[in-house]
This record gives sequence, structure tokens and C-alpha cells, in this order.
Amino acid sequence: MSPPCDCATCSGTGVVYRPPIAVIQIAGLSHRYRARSTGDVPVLRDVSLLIHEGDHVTLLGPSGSGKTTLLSIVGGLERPQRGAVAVAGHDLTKLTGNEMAEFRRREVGFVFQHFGLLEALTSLENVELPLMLAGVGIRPRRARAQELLGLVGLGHRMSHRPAQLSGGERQRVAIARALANRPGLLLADEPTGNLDEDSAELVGHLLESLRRELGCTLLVVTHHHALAARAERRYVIKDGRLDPAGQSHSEGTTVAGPAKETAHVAGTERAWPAGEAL
Amino acid sequence: MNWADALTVAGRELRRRTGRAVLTVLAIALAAALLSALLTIAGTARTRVLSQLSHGGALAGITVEPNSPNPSQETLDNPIPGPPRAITARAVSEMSRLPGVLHVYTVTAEQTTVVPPAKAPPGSTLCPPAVGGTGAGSVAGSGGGSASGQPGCSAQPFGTTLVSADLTNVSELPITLLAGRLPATNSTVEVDATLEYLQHLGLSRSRASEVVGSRVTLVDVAAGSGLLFSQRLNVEIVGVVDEEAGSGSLVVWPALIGREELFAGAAAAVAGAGAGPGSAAGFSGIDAPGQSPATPSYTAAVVIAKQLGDVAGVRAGIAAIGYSSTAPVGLIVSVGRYLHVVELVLSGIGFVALAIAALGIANALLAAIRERRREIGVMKAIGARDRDVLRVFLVEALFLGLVGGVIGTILGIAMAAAIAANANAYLHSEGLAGVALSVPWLLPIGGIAGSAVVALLAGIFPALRAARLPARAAVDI
Repeated sequence: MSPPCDCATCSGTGVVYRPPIAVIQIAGLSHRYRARSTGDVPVLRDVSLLIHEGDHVTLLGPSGSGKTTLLSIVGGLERPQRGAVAVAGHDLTKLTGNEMAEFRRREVGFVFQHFGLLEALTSLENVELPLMLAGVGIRPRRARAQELLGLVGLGHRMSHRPAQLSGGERQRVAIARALANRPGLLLADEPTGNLDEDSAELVGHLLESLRRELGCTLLVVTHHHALAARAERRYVIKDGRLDPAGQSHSEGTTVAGPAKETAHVAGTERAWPAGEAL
Repeated sequence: MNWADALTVAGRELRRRTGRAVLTVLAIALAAALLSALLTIAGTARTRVLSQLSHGGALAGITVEPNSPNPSQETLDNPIPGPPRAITARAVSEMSRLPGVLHVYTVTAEQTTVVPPAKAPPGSTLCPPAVGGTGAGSVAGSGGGSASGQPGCSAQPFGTTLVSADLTNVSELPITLLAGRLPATNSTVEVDATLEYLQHLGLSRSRASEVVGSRVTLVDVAAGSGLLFSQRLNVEIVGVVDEEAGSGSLVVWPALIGREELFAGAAAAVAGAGAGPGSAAGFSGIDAPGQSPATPSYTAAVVIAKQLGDVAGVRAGIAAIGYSSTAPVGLIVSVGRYLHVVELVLSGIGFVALAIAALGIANALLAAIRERRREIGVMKAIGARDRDVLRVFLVEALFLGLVGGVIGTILGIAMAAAIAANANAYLHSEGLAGVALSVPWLLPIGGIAGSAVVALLAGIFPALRAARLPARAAVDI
């Protein structure tokens, strides 16, 4: 399990080497959708990927290339059909329904293109919802929600419903909600897809600054080049495969790949080819 | 997510779709109202019909006749009695000790002459007093001469019987109040008139209220017969009753006849069984072998069995003691069966309405699930388990059912009350006893709980469907 976003801070005077901790480990993942009329549609083909704790990674690709499906599988929204997927130390191929819900609640925070706020609830209640689902009492969860809304600059919008907020504000509420349970992994599916340029810039900046401040891993699916440019690494998916022709930047360093790494998933040693680090 | 949090989320969702929630609540409220109203009306009608059969008395009431039993007839509801036989205090005492007997009430009768009102009460069409007569009045429209000097008035003093009974537990006696009220407890100046009195005045029962408030004079026809008053007594008619306790024109408390002192011993003998004191003298023409003239006897007795099933046994016991009895138990049981069928049919109609409302709830929830598919997916994406989503939708259904049930039950009882008020207006205009709205205590509880359960059942399928939606729905387009 990855450490909570806001507790992975290092202290000390000297430079301490800490080996990278794998947060997302995918090997040979294939996935297809079953459709009665058109037969099975392959969405992901033999995808392998490794993302470390604290990474900021972007998935790029044309519509229907499988980006969102990959994100859904990583986030436990969908069960992988073939291959190995381990996220934050959990083998997602083996979790039961309730364990998967627990995994989503504790390990992952989602930010959706459509914001995904419950229209009937206020901003504060929306941010409280994950805490409510985790069984947190009303006082601590209210305090946490207020803190998060303050963090995203919406302390003055707590009692507003989503319909009373602008798109950028809604997405900031959604980001606050995603962070409510202190997840180690933040997944964003086209977070700026429904926003104007200014709001998109603001949300992109917010995501990046929160990632740095809280130390969590950020995986973003986007078409938005400015948002993609903020990532340390970028992967391109085309026809369900990670495209080796893509490029990636890591803190200004070009990483050549693919490389081989080994990881343990649920007690089984597997070969983990590093993602197409281009 | 606990139930309280589920209630919060469900409440917010319902408030967001207020229009649909209100319509759904109205559907179940109308169904619950229909069911409650039908059951209340059915229950009230049952009470009224059975009360009519028992002449306003207890359903398990048995009237003991001052006759010996007729062995070949005693299993019938209304047997042809055997030869006359006085009902003695000792016999009443024996009856009170029979197994299955709850109470025994005695009825006495006293001969008197009634002089109809000398002065018409306000609003009455009763005739003014006859000029130079004995104070007799007459009745307008009764035809005949004009004893009072007013055309159409012809009423004359008439000989009749005073029916005396302890009216404390009048609901157990075959006495039904049609107008006015009962005489005050142990009153010696207030009486109730009977239908026989109205007949003497030529009034129909629909005009019963006209005699209320009038004053009549009672004349002791036989010196030493035992009446409290020596010659004449002015009393006020305070009500009109339909009674089967005895045959007479006026119903009075035993105190008016004034024999408590005389019958103190007899009263004590039956007090344990709830028998009231009464009068024995004036029981002329009755063969009372073995009874001394001073021994009290009654014109009738009303024996209340503990339940309908005890009636046959108690009647057999009464026959063994030596008296004939009547009880409409066979008729009551038979009519009760028909009424039960009617209740089942009315309940069926109500339940069909409730089932339709349940479909409305299910439809509303399914529509909500279609609309909220993505929201449900989002809830799952942020960690909701199937049971969390299930709870939210079940609470929504339960809330709709509870609110609908409360409104519907209140509305239903109000509807039944309005219908009963209309029915009473009609019945009173016909001179008949009104209906007392009978709302079983279980009805409000059952109505609300039933609506909630129906709503819950209707919500199970949609809620399960919502709970089983994949988390993937959060990112579906």
C-alpha cells in the first residue's frame, strides 16, 4: 500500500537515496469489450506499464484507443481480463467485489471529465461522501472536507450545489473529493475536457501543485497538450497498445526504454517490462 | 455508509426531484387512503349492521323471557316460548353464575297512564293542551277530532307501561338512542320515549326529535301498585330510544319507580354478576309458583355472554333454570359471514390500489436509476459498496412509502368520517340511529406500516439493479 499523499515528506539535511516504489505495475494486459451485435472488441492489447510513487504520468491517444479503459482498470472500476495488474500492492485480478470497493475507497482518487459530482449534494457534502462511505464520523469528515475545499480555493463555496458552480469550480470540488481519503494514487480522466482554457490551466496547475505538495502519484488521461506537458512522463496509446513511437520526459531527462524490472505481485514473481518509456 | 448517512443522501436526492417524489407519494397516499377508508367503512358498516341485529345491545346478548322454555324451540334464535313464568331474583342469581356469563341485567315494567304534553316544546308541532281536559295534548296531522281545540289534534291520555332498567351499561342492552339523550343517572324526573310512544302521538320515527324536551304526566292507575309517585308525576322526555328490552312507551331508571329499598335483598343477590336492581310488583297475570307476593320478579332479563361462542351454552343453562330465551346469534353469525366477504372484497380493491401505487414507486425508482446511472457509478468509483447503493435506494423507497402511508391513512380516515357524517345525516333524517365511526387501533399502524412495506418491496428490484451497476458506469459516456 502506498503512503498517503500528504505524509510522504522527507526530512533531513543530506540527500537521501530512496529506491523508487512501484505503484502501478501492469504486465501483458489485454482487455476486450463484449458486444452481441459486433462481437468482441479488443481495447487493450498486451499492455505493460510501470509507474512509481510520486510520478506524474500522462496517457495520450486518439478517442477509442483504450486510455480510459486502462485508467478504469488501474482504478479498479473494471476487472482486468488478461495479464497482471497490481496497484498499490493489490493484485486487482484477485480482489473480490467488496475488496475492490475498499481498494477504490482507500487507494485511489478519481477526477472525471464530467466532474461526477452528485447534483443533490452541496460542495461540502460531495467532498464528505468518500469519508461517509469510509464510515468516518460527521465531525472529522466535515472538518476534512472544509480543509480540502479551502485547499482548492473553494472555502467560500461549501454550501453551493454543483449547478451553482462554474465548470472550473466543479472540477476543483471533484479534486477535493478525490483527495478526501488521502489516496496514494490520483487518476484523472480528461480533467480539463469540459473546461475553457483559463479553467483548464488552473485545474492543471492545481493537480500538479497538489501532487507535489501531497506526494501522491498522478496518472492523467488527456487530449489537452498543455496539461500533458506538465507530466514527467507521457505515454501514447494507439489501437490498444502503448505506442513505442511516443516520447516521454522525466524531470527534463529522456528515458530510453523498454527496460526490464521485476516486481512481486501477491507473492508471485513476475517479469515486469517497464512501460513504453519513450 | 450507515443508515443515517443513507437517509441524508436519499433525502437530498428526493428533494432534488421534488415533483416526482410528490407524485409518487400522492400515488401511495391515495392508495393507502382508499384502503383505509374502505376498511373503516366496512368495519363501521359491520358494527352498524350487527348492532341493528342485536337491537343496539351486546352481540352476545340473550334476552330471557318471562316464560318457561319450549323444549322443541330452544335452539332457535326466536323460539315460541312456553307458559308464562315470573323471572325471580333467585333465577337471575342462578343465571349470573352460569359458565360463560359476563353480566345479567334485569328489566321491569310498571303500568301507568301517560298524559301527553300540555305544552308544545319550541319548534314542535305537538298540540297545545286540551282546554278543560286533564292536560292531554294532541298531535298535529294525526287526524281525528280536536281535543286541544286545534284542528287535527286528537291525542288522548293512554295507558301504557314504564320500562325500567339500569342504564349504566346501556351499550350492552337492546336499547338504541335515536334522539336526545338518556335520562340522567337515577333520575326521577327524566324519561326517554320509545317508538311506541311516538305511535301513540301519531309521529313517525323521523320526527322523534320533536318530542324531546316535552313534558308528560304519569298517572298511577292502581293505588298501591308500588309507583313512587302517589297519583301524578310530571317528567321530561329527554330522548327517544328504540328498545327491545321490554314493551312500553317510556324508559326510566328504576329509581323513578322507586323500588330499590324493597328489592335491596334481590339486588344484592345478583350484584356480583352485574345485575341491576329492579321492580317486581305490577307483574300481573304472571304465574309465579312458589313465589310470595313480596318476592321481586322481573319482566325480562338480559344475559350477556362472554363471547358469541358461549351463547348456545348459556341459553341451554337458562333453559335448564326454567326460562325461555332469545338471541339473534344465528343471524349474527350468518350476516357476519356475508359482511366478512364484503370486507374481503373491499380490502381487495384497496390492495389493488396499493399494488398500483407500488408499481408507481418501482417505476419512479427505475427512472431515477436510469437518470442517475453515472452518479451511481461515481459513488462506486469513490468507494461505495453494493450495499451502500442498495441502502440509499431502499431508504428512498421506504421514505416515499412512509410519507405516503401517513398522509394516506389520515386522508382515508378523514374520508370515512366524512362519509359517516353524510350517512348519519341521512339516517337521522329517517329517524334511525346513526353510525359510530369505528377505526380499529390497528388500522393507522397497519396503514402506515403496510405502505412502508409495500414501498420497500417495490423498491427492492430497482435498488438491487442500482446496486449491481458496475463502477465502470462512472466513465461511460
